[in-house]
Amino acid sequence: MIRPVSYEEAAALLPDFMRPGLKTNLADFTALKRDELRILERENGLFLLRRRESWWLLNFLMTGGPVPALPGRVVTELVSGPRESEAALTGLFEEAGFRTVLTRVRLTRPPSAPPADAPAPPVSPAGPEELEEVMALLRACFEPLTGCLPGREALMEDLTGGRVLAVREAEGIAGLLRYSAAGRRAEIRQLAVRRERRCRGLAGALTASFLARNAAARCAVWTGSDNGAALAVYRKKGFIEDGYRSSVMMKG
Amino acid sequence: MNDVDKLIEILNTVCPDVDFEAETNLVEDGILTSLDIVMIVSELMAAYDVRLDIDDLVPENFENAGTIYELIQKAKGN
Repeated sequence: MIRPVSYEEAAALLPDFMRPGLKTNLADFTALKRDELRILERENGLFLLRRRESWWLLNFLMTGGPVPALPGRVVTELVSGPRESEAALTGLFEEAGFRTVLTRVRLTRPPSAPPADAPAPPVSPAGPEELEEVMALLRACFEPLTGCLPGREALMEDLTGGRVLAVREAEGIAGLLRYSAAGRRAEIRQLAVRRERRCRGLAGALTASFLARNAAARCAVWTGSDNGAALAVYRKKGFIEDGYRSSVMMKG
Repeated sequence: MNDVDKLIEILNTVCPDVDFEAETNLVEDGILTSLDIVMIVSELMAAYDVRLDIDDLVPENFENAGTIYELIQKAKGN
């Protein structure tokens, strides 16, 4: 039976389902604190639903099939490394009514000096007062169901921490790059350029600025496997595909 | 086989391409991902018959074989 659960109760249950041979897509446990949660416990695993606007984001810790029937619209992401095949896991979700709507690949870049070309046009951090404008541009550029968009609270934390870089023009923010950073790791979370301002070097400038601010970090980015424009920008800046990939799956 | 060798053998079953004997900043250097940590913990809890809590899954506990060994010893009550 699917039931509401608090973060504290879920956190206490999760270790019970961390068993050898585990398949999971849950890594950032602290992010659960912000979400309204539903839980389904089964012999083969634990299924955790996190409320989004009109759908549920599914995290799971499972050691085999089947994937249970889940009500409503549910989105999940299956991540696999270079030595893994995601086919078996994808098949389990397909049997439960999920279909693949997007595939992503990860690109990484070892710590190194940023590219010699200076960022142009100018890039600077967006501030908390630009929350609404940043949110609007993200929503205009990313599919809400699959774009891993941050909530207002998380976005405000990033704006306050200077982790949203922006290019501004007369009409306002023309492009932005949101990232996370911890230790010697940094990850581009979203790179968005207003549709009418694309193909003018903004994405390259934002990426170069990100790299300059994280020169000592191993940098990573996930992008659509068929997003040729984004792949070209990242490859030009020294990112290479590292074999990690994911499938975003949805039902309902 | 001593305790650390046994630990490294288990770690290598989860992440065979990681040099757990040489690397000292596995998380900070981006060698281990958060998902790798969850997989590692799943194997360690079974191998050592211990329970780790979500609060134990912080990066500093997984920087190298030594910190992971200390985490296991703590969970065993040693």
